[in-house]
Amino acid sequence: MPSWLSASASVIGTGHSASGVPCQDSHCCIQRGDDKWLAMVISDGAGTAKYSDMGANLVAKSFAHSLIALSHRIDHREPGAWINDFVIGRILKTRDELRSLAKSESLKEYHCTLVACLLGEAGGFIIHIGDGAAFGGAAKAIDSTKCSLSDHLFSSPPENGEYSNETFFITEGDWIKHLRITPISNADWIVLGTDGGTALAMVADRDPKPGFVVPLITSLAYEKDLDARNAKLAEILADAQADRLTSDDKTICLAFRKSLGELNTQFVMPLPTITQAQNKGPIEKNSIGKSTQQNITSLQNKLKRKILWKVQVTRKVMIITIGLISAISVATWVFMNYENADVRQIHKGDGK
Amino acid sequence: MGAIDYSGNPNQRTPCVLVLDASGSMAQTVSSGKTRMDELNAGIAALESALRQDDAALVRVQLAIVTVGGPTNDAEIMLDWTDATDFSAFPIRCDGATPLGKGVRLALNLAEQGKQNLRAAGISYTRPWVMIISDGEPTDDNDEWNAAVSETKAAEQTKKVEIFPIGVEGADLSKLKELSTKPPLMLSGMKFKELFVWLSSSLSAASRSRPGETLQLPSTDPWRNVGL
Repeated sequence: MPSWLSASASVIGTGHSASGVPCQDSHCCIQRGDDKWLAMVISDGAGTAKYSDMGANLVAKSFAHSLIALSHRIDHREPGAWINDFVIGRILKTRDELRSLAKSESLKEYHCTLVACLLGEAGGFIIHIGDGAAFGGAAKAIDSTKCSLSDHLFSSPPENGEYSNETFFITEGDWIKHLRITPISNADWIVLGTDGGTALAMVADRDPKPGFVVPLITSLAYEKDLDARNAKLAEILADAQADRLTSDDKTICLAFRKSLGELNTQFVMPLPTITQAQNKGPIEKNSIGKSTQQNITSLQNKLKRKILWKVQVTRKVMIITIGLISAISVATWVFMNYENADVRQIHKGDGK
Repeated sequence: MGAIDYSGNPNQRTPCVLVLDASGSMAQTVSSGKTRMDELNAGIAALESALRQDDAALVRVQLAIVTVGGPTNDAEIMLDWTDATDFSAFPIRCDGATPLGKGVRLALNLAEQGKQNLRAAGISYTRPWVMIISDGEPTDDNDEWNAAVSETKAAEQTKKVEIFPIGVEGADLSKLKELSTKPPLMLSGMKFKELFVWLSSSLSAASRSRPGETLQLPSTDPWRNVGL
């Protein structure tokens, strides 16, 4: 049984359909054959670039396959800093493919962004260049009827210039300066959106919008069929009301644990301040993809350390107590003897 | 299942300052039989209705108006920053001289102020547009005019604003030409209505770009490629 269920859709914006420009958003979701890993990639082509729709399409497909390749590596090798290098290598490969497509060294007619994630059973990570966003959280039962989706919120926010329509692209020479890799270790659901998608799903590109995300997950969680979920999501994105918020193309990919759809409770999303888990630098050993066994071992280690510490403290207290008692006894003995000697002397003196 | 909430106005804004020539020369009658000023006023009303018909533009555009000349015979802020949803057109009367340079400088300040307000409110924004609609006969003294020219050019170069010079029918374009690297658009037949409709439709087409590149707008040569 798949551990993650996904839904994805790209819908053309009114600004593009009105002027005959194609949808410049693209997405690609690949569930690995054994269902252990899910790769999701979205890419938003620049409105200023002539073939950005083709660029975005290539980036989404190429990079999604790269993430699946990465998942096979992780199966055999503990996650570590090598993942950064692998991701960089795969982005270079995608850029090479773009050059072949463009038949040119310059990729400026193919400008597009990248928001991607690879999700395994115990965690994964987000890879991000430019705007659009990825955010998600863990689920936690509040009581028997309600389940909070905002336990442990995380996000990879958009990166813009001064103006919100200026951003950074995978197709630019300095792309590596804007590459952000964010490990995620505690996720039960995740949403990826291009800026058109986040105009619907986020509040001011900062926080998830509960009024959108909760009904979205609720309506998709009980849909067993992938095609039905995709169609439902496309319908939500194509709603005329969505066009009131953005005239841009709208793409959303979301995934949630299958178990979320089996809870049969009402989802809620009380909003604390979001933890921005961005720009963490290289991935450190054990920061992602820990297996449950490893988690348990580390928990056991923690417990052991706690017990050891307690034993040490008890010992110290005992030594100090024994020391104090002996010091008091010695002092008492000396004082008593001194007093007796004194009395004896007095007696002696009396005798004279 | 609850209904999906599509409410709220989290959008980026595009601040747009209109510098409108309300000088005495705008009272001239043109080929349609109306005055230039009548057409300009009709255009502003058309802007409002065009914005109301375009949901995406309506939540994005912010407007401010600087008038030049008019009853006070000065450049002044006629309308401070207003969301398009709250904008309603009002007729402008023309009279007096054309301190266009002063008006343009006022507009540049207003654009910067608009950005500051949005920043303070935590709302993202795109590059402000300054649209100068005039018959192109400034009456500023040379210093004032030269200062305005160098300021607009610098502001365009440093991507602080995007300047759109527009001449009304019979306008002298040579002065307007100095205000931007883009050639002034001659509004043959005073098509303000079309201009404003274009303004809102191109704004809603404005999706994404990056510094130094140009946005491909649906039509309206010679501004097809507008840097944003």
